[in-house]
Amino acid sequence: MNKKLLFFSMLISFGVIFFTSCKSGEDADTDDLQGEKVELNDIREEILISMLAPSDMAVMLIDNPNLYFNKDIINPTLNSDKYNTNSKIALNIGIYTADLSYASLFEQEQITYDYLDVVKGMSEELGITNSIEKKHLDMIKNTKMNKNEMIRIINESFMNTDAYLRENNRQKAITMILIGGWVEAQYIAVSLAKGSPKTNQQLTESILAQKISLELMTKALENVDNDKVLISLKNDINKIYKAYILLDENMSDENFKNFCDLIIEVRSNYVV
Amino acid sequence: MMNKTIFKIIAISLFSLFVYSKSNAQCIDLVKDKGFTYLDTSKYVPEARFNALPLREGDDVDIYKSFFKGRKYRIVVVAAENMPKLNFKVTNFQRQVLYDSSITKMESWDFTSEMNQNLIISVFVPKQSDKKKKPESGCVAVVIGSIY
Repeated sequence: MNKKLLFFSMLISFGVIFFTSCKSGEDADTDDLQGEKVELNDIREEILISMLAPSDMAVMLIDNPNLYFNKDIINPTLNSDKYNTNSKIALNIGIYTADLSYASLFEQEQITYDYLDVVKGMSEELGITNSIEKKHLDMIKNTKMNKNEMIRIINESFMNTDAYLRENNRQKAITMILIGGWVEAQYIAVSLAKGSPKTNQQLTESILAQKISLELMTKALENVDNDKVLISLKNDINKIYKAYILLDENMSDENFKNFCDLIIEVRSNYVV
Repeated sequence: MMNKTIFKIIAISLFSLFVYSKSNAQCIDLVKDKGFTYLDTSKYVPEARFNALPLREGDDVDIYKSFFKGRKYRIVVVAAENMPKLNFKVTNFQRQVLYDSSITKMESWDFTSEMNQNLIISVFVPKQSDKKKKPESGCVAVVIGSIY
């Protein structure tokens, strides 16, 4: 009787755990339901941990006194209504997080607030309910904040998302968010560089310092071979890595432009 | 009799759920409590990644991290209470050791990055000397903060 009791209790518990970890957006579409819970050995944990967050990417590339904020570059918040699959939502959480980090670096409080609010809504669609606290949104809306204070809030919010997804074995979602953020930070950087390595020397150096990020993303995806969405990302990252290697070997205007064009092309596929 | 059985099933189910959510919350609590205290978040802005994972005695892990020119950093490595004191090393890609906690006996390292660079943080969980005891396992977190 006791064993039966324990068995039923465990069955109920696992049932509840299963349903709570698959809630809302997880099952919202069919295209990426398969493979949402990627096996742990498909994406290695230590590689996943090593990848940079979108806000760190933005700081690395764009925190530069000679650059400026250009609202026309970033993905408009109106587009968020178009993202109706988990894959699109995850990629664009990364993209919007890079955008709002860019805005915060130039102390654009209203834009940072608007984008953080959009990311909060999209995160909730993926079942992540506690990533961005209301008190933090209110602080950005109602208080004059400098970039350090805004970055602190952005980082803490992202850490909540990261922790939630990894502790619930949703490696695919966090991988897509990180790759979306990386691509967007690159896109902002190459847009500000205007396709030429001579526009801003520090920016060009930062773009060229991406070898380890690209290698980590390549490694993170190397064992993925049965998930349609991740295979598509893997192909994109491999193409960018090849263009980067050419650029690293020969820093010509043509190679720089090819690299920039490829980033623009890949990014445009993610935001549509 | 039937009611008692149902009550027991519900009680055990709730207990199992509690244990599940507690272990889930353990790593983020380790980062935000112990990790942030050692980091001193009044000075250092924590980076955005959640660098925590469960390890066992005898395990080691290498984490790659980017550090940016001119920025001041603090790297903190902490573990759950049941775990032995950890060792961690920071090396460059040529495996030249920049910091070794087994020498300094400190949980954290402060430094200013002289260039944009990628470093390897290697964490090792030593085995405790009592071989009769079951090896402990628990959360280990690498918390990194910087001054902007």
